[in-house]
Amino acid sequence: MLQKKICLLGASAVGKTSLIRRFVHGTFSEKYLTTIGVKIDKKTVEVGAATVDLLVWDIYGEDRFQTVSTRYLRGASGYLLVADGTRRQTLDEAHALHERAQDALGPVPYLLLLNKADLEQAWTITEDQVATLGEQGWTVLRTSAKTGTGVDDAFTTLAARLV
Amino acid sequence: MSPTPRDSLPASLFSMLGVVTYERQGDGQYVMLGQPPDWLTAHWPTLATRQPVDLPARFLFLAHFLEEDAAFSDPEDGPIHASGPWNETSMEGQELLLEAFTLRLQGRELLLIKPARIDQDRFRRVLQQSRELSLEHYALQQSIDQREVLLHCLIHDLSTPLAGARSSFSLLREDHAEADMESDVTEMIDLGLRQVEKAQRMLQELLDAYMAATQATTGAPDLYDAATETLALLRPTARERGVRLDLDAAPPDASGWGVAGDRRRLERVLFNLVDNALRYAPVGSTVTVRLERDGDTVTCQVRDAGPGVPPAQVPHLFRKFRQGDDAVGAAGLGLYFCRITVEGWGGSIGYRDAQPRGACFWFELPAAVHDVAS
Ligand SMILES: Nc1nc2c(ncn2[C@@H]2O[C@H](COP(=O)(O)OP(=O)(O)OP(=O)(O)O)[C@@H](O)[C@H]2O)c(=O)[nH]1
Ligand SMILES: [Mg+2]
Repeated sequence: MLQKKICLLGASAVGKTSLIRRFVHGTFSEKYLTTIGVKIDKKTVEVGAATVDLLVWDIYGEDRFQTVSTRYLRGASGYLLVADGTRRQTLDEAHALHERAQDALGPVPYLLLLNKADLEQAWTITEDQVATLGEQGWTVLRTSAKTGTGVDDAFTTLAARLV
Repeated sequence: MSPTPRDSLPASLFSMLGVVTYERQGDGQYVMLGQPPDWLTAHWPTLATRQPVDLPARFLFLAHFLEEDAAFSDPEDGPIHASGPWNETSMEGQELLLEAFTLRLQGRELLLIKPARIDQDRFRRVLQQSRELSLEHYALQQSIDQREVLLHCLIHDLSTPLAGARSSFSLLREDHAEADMESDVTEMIDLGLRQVEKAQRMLQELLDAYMAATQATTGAPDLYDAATETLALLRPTARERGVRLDLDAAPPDASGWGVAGDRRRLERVLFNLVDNALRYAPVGSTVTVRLERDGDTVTCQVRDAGPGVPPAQVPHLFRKFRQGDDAVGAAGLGLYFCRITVEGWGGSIGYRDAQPRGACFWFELPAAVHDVAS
């Protein structure tokens, strides 16, 4: 069976672990427990006629306390950049990680997830910014690990680009 | 069981220290050396065996780590190859943070695994708390800014129609006085006028109370100090983005860098402008904060070498809502906050293109008046 490694990259507390938990186990918790190190989960998805085993790498968040080492990215076929719609600067952190990921992996597929879509009234990332990213060729998806909105879609969209 | 030659002393010592040692076999399987440490027996009993085990199949992370080129190199050729911490769920579903090391010793390929650092719990607590505090700090700051903006809007939006109503009532009364109307109509008009004046007074009191509250810690804040502090706060962010931060100003002389305003909000204004500049500054460039004093006015410029603001957007920069935007709390609020704050102190704020490229946001404040007596 086809096996693909994908990574979740983003600032701390944007919801990487929550998105994986929602996708793999179908659960969500309000409690924030910061990830230390990495964790790998596995989930099989169907894309068209193909079946893909996704190895999903949850990588600790990047902020001024910790920098993500690109060695964890080795061998990844693609990645999901995650930003928190309620904190605009997490988009900058996603950009920085994106550049490093492209350096480390070359031009592999990626998507940008704007998470916490359920908190829309508190969003500080504007339509304009999303539109600009779209013009630059980024695929931007809105997700909510809390309600589940867009989560399966995000993972399967990326998986489809890997086969 | 009698010790085999594989049961070298070091391997037994390691297991006492909580480290399990495996040796890689020609077929890619792993055989444990020495005794299994307690954590292995407790959480992965099937791996605490002398039988060859397929570790990469058992631990996905290890499969990845063991493929690395530097795995199993001679320690004399460089530092011992370390995996960094990773999480593994035990057979009963408990999560453990582990760390692995590989090396080649006397031609044998060894893999060492141990629970990650003993002070792990403390490290996690500190990291967790720092991150929670950062989030709280951000949320609080956001809500303070928003409250100031809201209050400002409230006062502004209420005072305009009140002023209108008041002048209408005044005109009406003049007309009626001339026309010598019945006294009960005049009375009604007077009543209306008094109510409007009362509302205006209350609004003014609200404004005074609010100013007193936000400026309780004033005295003329020192712009140089405020800038130094703000830059120190933003330096980690700048480093992360590969941007230099420069303060370009003569150190305070006798006339000083005191300005009208209060310290906390002044730092907030500086923070917003510099943070904004960092966002657009290209890697390797410099963001400069330049202070100048010209007589009774102090100017602060924040310059970056980014793309600058497209001319069409310049007129909307400092507005509360950008065209097409209708949500309070949208991204433009930061600059709007700067404007109402600076203008509230009798200053002004603006934008121009920097030369040869980039953006230059500036604001100007009245210099603090020196009290000669003190
Ligand atoms: N409302 C809402 N909260 C969310 C969502 N996703 C995550 N959260 C909350 O955000 C906080 C952080 O979530 P995590 O999944 O731990 O974030 P992370 O990116 O893994 O964080 P680090 O491991 O520290 O990098 C938690 O309190 C979650 O409950 C979402 O879609 N909506
Ligand atoms: Mg996490």
